[in-house]
Amino acid sequence: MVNFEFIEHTADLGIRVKSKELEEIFKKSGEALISIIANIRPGVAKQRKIKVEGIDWPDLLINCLNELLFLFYTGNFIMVSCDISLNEKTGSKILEAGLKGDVFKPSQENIKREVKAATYHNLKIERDEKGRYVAEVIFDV
Amino acid sequence: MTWSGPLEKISEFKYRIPPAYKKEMTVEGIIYASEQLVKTIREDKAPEQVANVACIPGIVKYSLAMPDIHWGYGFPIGGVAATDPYSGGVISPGGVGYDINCGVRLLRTNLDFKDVVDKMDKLANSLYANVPCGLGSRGKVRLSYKEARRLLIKGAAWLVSKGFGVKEDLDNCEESGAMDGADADAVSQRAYERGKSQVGSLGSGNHFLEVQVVDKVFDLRAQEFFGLSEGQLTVMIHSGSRGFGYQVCDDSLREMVRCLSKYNISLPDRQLASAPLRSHEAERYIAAMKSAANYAWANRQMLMHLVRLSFEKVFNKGWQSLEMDLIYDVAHNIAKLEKHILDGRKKELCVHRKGATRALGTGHPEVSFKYRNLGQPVIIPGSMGSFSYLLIGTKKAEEETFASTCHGAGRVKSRRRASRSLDFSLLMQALRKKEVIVKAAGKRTILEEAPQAYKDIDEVIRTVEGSGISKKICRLKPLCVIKG
Repeated sequence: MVNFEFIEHTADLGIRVKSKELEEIFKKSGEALISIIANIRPGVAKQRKIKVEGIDWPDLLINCLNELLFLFYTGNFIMVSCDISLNEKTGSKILEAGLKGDVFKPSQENIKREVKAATYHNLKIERDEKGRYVAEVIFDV
Repeated sequence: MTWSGPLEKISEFKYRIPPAYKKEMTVEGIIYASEQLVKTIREDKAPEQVANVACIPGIVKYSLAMPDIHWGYGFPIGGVAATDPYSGGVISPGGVGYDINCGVRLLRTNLDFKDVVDKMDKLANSLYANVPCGLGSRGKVRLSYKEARRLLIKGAAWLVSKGFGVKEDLDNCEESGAMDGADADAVSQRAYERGKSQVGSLGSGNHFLEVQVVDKVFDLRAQEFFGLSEGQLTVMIHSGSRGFGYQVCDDSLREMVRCLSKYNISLPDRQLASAPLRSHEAERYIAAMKSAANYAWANRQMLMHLVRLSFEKVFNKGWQSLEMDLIYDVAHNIAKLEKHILDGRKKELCVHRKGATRALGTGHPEVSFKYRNLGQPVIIPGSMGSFSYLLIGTKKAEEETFASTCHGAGRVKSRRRASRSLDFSLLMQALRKKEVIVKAAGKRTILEEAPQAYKDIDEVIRTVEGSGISKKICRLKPLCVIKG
């Protein structure tokens, strides 16, 4: 069960994800994106390694989500689980992740909708009053 | 989710957001809308986006919105903005969107609906079987890297040279189906990867292929210029640059977010990330965007070829005998350097149209020879099951809106609200009652794209005609809808 909320948007689709850990924000956002695209949970027969950079955490989040879309649209790879490490160096935030999942053939039964991209519109990673991270992302669908 | 900012009525079809609304606004916002439409426009954050666009560097005159305006990302859908390259004007990939050169083409036939009523089911099945549609759908063409590079430069003409169409098809496309200045080297390897197998595929969401009948002619020139009269069958194709364009936009935005600090650009929304028009980053984006635009024209050319093949099979006649000529093809997500009158002088401006259609008037040299004495054809699709329209551009649009008009009905209901609040079988029943055959890859798309999720297309058209920025030619009623 993916832990996220939908944000209402007229033309597109938005998500809100909350967690005490920044790594979890990235993980949950990725899982939310996958659950928007497909309604299957394949096995974990395949693995992918990704390294993504951003100028700040929100930029890194968008770049990571678009990397997942790239893996899906070019190789039908659906992520099921991941190990994430986040690093920082001057002017740059870096995510390295080992992704587990599988390659599958999209069909009418297992596909929900096309997501074109994760956008920067109203993008947020903030702390709420309880000190948790809250991220909001709008997808172009 | 409503918007309560200032919207001042300045005429029957025009509303204004004063520049004082936001301190970063350098021009006013103008929304074309009727009293009826303005109520729905206030129901989401689209007017705020009109105000945000009024903050981009080098914007001239006003930030415009057409009557089908709704909440997008960055720019509103239905937004038009022109920037001045010689006064610090920028180009914004978000002002074009991910689906670069999403657009519409309309072709005619010499078939009369009453003679072919009994063939409509067969036709719908044939189109659904022959035209790849749905998420990640792949075309029947596999492009090598070398071929893809040629297609990016030559657009629809490359497919015509391979036998998928005729020269006259190109004469009836905006930009003749290819923009000059595309550069295959400005495009990432990732974009090639995403685009190599999608030429000739419809995609999903609001993209569609529709067989229609001319339901009402408003202007008798419909027969003279378009060969259209009431009862005649037409076909409309709505699609864009598929994964190729999405990747070009993604790559460019990533780069432009990085250069905001370099060029000291401050914006209310990062999705508006831009670069000065004369910068290296802008030049690279323009060359890549033109490549994606050409990809889209090639995609619609191939889709039209597949439609012609289906008609040939069902009616057992060649497409030329069926007179399946292309009426016109328009882009509605694009940025172009165009000449417009500013402060009494002709000036080159970068016009962003995000969910808006170019609408040139009579005599404009950019309008193909065939239509020069009429005005540029403007094709406006309605929502699934409602009317679509063929219009023409006007001189008034050239004077007021940088020669732009609306692009569709415009959403009012979010996809989630539509799919939760509507009943699939009732919706299908209602469409059957209207004699519309629907073939779609999934139930969800049908619910999300239901007519109830959109504004009243007739009111949108009344507004663009009432304000003088377009003129109605004829109305088209859907018969078969193929959706991804």
